[in-house]
Amino acid sequence: MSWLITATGLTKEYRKGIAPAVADVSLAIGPGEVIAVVGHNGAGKSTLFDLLGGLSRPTRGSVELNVARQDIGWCPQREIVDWSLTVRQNIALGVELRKPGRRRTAGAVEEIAASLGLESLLARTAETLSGGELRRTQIGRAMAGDPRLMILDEPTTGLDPEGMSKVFGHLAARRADGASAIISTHETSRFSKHCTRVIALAEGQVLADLPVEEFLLSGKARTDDLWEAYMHIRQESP
Amino acid sequence: MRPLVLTKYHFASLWNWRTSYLGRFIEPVAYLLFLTAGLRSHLSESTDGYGGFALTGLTCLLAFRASTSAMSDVANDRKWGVFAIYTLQGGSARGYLLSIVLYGGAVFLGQFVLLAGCALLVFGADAPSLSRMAVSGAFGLLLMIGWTGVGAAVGGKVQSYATRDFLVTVTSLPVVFTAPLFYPIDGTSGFLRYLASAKPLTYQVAALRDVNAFTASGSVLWAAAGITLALVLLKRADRVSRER
Repeated sequence: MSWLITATGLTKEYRKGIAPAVADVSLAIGPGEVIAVVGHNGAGKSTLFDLLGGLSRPTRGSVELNVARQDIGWCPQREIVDWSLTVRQNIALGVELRKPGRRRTAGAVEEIAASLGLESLLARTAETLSGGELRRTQIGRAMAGDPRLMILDEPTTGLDPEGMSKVFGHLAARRADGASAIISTHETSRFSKHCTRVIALAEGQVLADLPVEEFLLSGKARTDDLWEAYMHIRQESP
Repeated sequence: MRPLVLTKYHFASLWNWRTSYLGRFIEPVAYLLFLTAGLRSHLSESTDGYGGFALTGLTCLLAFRASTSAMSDVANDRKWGVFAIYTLQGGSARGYLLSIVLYGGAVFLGQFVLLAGCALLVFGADAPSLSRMAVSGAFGLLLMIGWTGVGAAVGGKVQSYATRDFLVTVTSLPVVFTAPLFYPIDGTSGFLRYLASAKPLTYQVAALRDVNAFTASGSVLWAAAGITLALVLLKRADRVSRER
């Protein structure tokens, strides 16, 4: 398989003498994979996403990209939005920076806005949006323009069930086109139907990296909830 | 291409929040209409053509205020993630800085043209000639590029709104009023002259009032130094500031 991104021995230490936020994590993401990253708060998910996205540098280890930076859509956990721009402009900014000179920016913005239910908000500035609307704007910016790889850190936080369905629906459509994604979410029951692989993190280390069906079968009985399977794996781990 | 894309969105931001950014155009005009017009009657004898003296001072004020604007803009872009998005999508710190300079340069020219038009109205025959204004504008642009670099460099280190606002407050009026922008500083009290002698703005306004080969090379050097400083610090800056 030709990997889109390969991480080898990733370690991130914020301060000496304190356990690393991420410790010796290796993983690779291939075309068409949708990877769920599950773990408790503080397990190292956001740090891992920041390292993969290039937002911070690893203390040790490396990230190798086999995809152009422009082909990566990035939605961090914290609110990253230009408050002075409209929803349309925030999304278009992401598209145009990824593909400078691209003429179909307007079309890409309309398309993602329709997918995420943002059509009626396009002319509003970010400062006037609710939390869920802001989140969908950030997801729209990350997904617009059809990036080959999406790095989405808790994209469903603050979304109502309808908003989540729209995000997961768009993700499924993009996967059908061969796009890949790595996602952390606390919607572990709903998301089990949308991912192909699961990485379980605890204390910055990978506990399991399995295809989704195998992961869901790791308990005493099969479950539809990634979290239940995660808790079982965690209890079983030394 | 990317710097131009980002420049376009800097202008979109200016337009969307035009009521907030209007101050950048009102402030220099207010200085011209109310401060220099008031000082003119007292200083017209001690300065050789107060209209030219004041307009040159105001040009330097615009160039200096470009640094606080750039500092605010870069600090905002780092807090809001625009700098992170730009660099994570393949853009460079150099391209980002170019967008800040292009935007700042266009705003400076708009401010300068507005100011020159008002100067013609206020000072009449005492206003400098159009060619003299053009020379001031051209050298002012170089000074503005250097100051924008200084501001962008500082903005690359700012981690919070509180720090940003504090820096704008302490550098605005004190710096402006302790340089000979609106009145000669020679006859003032000792501490004012001491402060004036410690600031680049004092030498810049003096050079702009007596343009020669030294002014030209000094302005280019100043612009290059500011840009170099900004490049070094922006390359090392956190992509997003720590304040949430």
